[in-house]
Amino acid sequence: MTASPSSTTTTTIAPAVGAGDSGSRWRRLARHGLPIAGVIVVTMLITAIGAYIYESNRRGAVSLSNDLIDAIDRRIAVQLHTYLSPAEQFLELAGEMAAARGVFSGGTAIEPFTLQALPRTTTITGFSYADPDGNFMFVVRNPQGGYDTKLVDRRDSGRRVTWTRRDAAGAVTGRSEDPDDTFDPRERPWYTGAVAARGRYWTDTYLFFTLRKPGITLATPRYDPNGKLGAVLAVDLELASLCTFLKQLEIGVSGKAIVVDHDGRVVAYPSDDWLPADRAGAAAPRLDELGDPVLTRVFNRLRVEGYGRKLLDLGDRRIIVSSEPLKTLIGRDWAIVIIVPETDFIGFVTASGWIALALSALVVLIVAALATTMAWRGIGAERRAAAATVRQGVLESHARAFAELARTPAVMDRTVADGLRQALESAATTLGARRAGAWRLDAAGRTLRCEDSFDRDAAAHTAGLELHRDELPNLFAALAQGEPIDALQAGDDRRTAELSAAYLAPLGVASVYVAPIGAAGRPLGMLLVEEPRRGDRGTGLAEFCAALASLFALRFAGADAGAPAPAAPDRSASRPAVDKAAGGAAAARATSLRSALMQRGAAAEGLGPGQMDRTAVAVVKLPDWLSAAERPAGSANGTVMDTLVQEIRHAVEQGGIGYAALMDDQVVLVALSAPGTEAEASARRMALTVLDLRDRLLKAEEALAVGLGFRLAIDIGPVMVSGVDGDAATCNIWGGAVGVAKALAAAAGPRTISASETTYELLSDDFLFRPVGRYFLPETGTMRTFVLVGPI
Amino acid sequence: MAASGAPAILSLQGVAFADRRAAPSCRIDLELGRGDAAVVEVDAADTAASLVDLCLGLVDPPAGAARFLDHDWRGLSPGERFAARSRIGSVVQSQVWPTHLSIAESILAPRLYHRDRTPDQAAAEATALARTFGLPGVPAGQRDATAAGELVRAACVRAFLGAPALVVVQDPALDAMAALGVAMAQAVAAVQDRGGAVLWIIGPEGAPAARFVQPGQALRLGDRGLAPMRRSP
Repeated sequence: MTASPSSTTTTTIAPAVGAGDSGSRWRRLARHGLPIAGVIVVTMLITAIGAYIYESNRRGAVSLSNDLIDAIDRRIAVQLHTYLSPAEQFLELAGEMAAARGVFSGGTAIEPFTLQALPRTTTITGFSYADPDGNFMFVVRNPQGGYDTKLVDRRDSGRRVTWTRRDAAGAVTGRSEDPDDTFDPRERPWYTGAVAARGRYWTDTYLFFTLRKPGITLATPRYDPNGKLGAVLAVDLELASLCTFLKQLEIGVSGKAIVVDHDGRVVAYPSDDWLPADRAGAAAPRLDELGDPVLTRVFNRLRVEGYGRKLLDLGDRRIIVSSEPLKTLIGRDWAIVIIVPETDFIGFVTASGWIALALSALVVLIVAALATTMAWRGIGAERRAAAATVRQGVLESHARAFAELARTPAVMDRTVADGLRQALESAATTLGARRAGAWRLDAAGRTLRCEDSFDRDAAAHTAGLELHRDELPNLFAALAQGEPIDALQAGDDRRTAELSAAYLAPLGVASVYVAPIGAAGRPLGMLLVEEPRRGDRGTGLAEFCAALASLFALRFAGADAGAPAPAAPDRSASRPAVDKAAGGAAAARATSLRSALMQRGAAAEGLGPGQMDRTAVAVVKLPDWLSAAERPAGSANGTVMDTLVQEIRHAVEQGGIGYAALMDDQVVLVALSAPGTEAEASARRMALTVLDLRDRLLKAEEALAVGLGFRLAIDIGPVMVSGVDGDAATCNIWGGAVGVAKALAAAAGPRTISASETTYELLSDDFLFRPVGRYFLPETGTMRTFVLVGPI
Repeated sequence: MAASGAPAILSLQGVAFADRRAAPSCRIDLELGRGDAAVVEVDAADTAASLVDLCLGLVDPPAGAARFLDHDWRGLSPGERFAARSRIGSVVQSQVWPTHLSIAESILAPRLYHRDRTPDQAAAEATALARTFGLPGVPAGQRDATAAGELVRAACVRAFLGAPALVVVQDPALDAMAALGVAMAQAVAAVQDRGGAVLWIIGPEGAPAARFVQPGQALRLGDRGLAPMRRSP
């Protein structure tokens, strides 16, 4: 039976926020959520504003670009009209003067007019006059700035070609004939076109032979009153200045305007060399023949959809295409095609949109940072307030607990054991610790003895364990200086590292708080708190422990003054009588044994008279033989093994253990039960002996100043005894529990006592055990193992 | 090295890593014959895991050939690979155990599945190994109820159980447990005596648990593959 904790008032810490305080929770949620919601709203507003401004600017830019394109269209149309009109007027006048006469009656008559008018009409580079007989007069500008006249005379079925050269002043500089010239105007396109059209006729754009520049020809036939063709007059128009005009137009950044005819052939292009110079007389190329993919797509769209304003998507580019017909203005089936990337007009909108977006994002980030800061400050303030509330509650609980203990004289009265037990229960509960223990230093200051230790999880007290100064020199030194130790990892703190290795680590304890107990500058012991609560709920740990240590100092100082030690409480009176033999582990082992025997075709009775059931067996695992054979420096008592054997002998004799045998590096101890005695009694005797042996070996380690690394184990189960009829001192005990105890000892932690489940079942009312794990052993089946800590 | 005439237990020839981020030209050549033991130091944990996967035939190398008992993993069917892996023990991710089985069941299940031991034989062998590794018996609790150190010991039991032809060790938790050094040395020596091979892959911080193992090859995996490494005494 586990000793029940003393009745004591336990204090609990009220939660910082009441469970039913839903209104407060909503207010807190709103307080934290509002800044976040604000950020979201601001983000949405800025996004909406940005989108609206972008779309509005885009629409405005598109509208402006349409107006600009319209203006360019009109400007090009006016320019074309201005360009073509003088030529038309010239041809009209010349035609009226010729009056459907042949070359040698009408043409030569208007030659002086031509020579006077052409220099004033710079767009005209040549004037042609032909009659149906094949006679031909051609006035053309020469490189010197004058005008030459070519006359083809086909009268009298002959052919005579005469050139008259003139200088810039109009003076004749020479005459020559060209007998090789076979030119016949009646075969020329302008002639045949005009005759076929019976009216004004425009040729396609082509490269003028003499000037090597693109141009067009306007021709008109003249008929007599009877409708008979009298002559065909034509003027050649050079398009270079028109191309220069188109080139000089600024349409966005990279836009261009092109004049095309009804077949899509280029009439004027914004370039000086768009028409190859080696293709004189050839027709101008179409838009799709210029090698520009954009123009090819434009041409295809024009062919399919006709004129109008269009937007072409070319990969990641959008191209504005404007094509306006010019027929109503210049009488030609021509069109102006304007091609300009959309970004030339609205690119600034996109750029400014990105800048605005970046600035908006910056604003959002600033707002978010401010909101986060506000929310974080709010959360931080709440946490601090909650932590302060927790700390206040903890400190109040400490104060209440301490006040209660201070009002209890038994705490300071060495003669009353319950006072110490009550104080440690209160300390463990108040500090949320796994264990709290009071350790008293002996008069020589060499040994710390556990007066009492309360295990909160097991709700049980233990006492009696001793720690020795030579084993824990750093801890003793710290206590001597009255220095408290707060170690989150006891193994890492120099002052508690040895305590961790010898005592805490085998019990799975990592964090400890040690408050020295002393009076008048003299150390009396320590308050050891294992795994106390940490953080806000661990606030005031040092102060509470210091206060409690001062109470214990009064108690320990009284003991040193000669007050009698309290009698150990008789817990057996409150222990219920239970049938330990019916324990589950023992029954399981018996079943396992029967099963093993059945597999061999034998029964339990077949084991012979040497079988002893429920025998307490302990095994001491010694250090390796080389260490055991060492002779410690300055020792006059032989080897380490001699000391070990001596200590084991003393423990065995004092514990009344009837059997001890050294087997290589192990010593097997067996508590032989007297006939008629309870197995529990021999088991308890064995446990006390093993605990005594542990303390003896710890002292031996201290005395020898060597680490023995011994391991202990205890098991209760069947064994076999040879020579049972003879002297007990000469018999051999083996099998069953001996093997189990050996296995447990081999796997035990250094300086700890491993115990089997049957041992735990039999002794857990009187001893404190800490569980280790579950294992499958062929000897026992699945079994739990424990560490035997000490008596309760 | 492999004994003359006898096929190598593990042979990696010009093997490349599929997912190695650095040094794509790294090629591994390693041959473990009967009774061989090798310690390979690998800097990156993911590279070490990839090397284990290659040895166990869990992934095929993008270049080179990985062979186990003279069989190229690439040429084995999934069923044949599974059967071949019954001859391989591994201490890898010792903290990972099935949650629906006890530790003891997890240890014994492969042996009972492959039917190369009777249940009693398997339990006895597992118990002996458990005691070699400092346990009183085979841990019988669930994974969550078993201490981390015991899980490592249990993983060692699982790896060496069933007389494996090859044992692959790659577990930082085991490497750090110096207390298992002697037990591991005994277990490795037993494998070698039996004609098996052991490959122990350690990290750059070393492995105190491997201190007592005497490998025939001590190698380091660098950007150009495996190179001999001088082990500190």
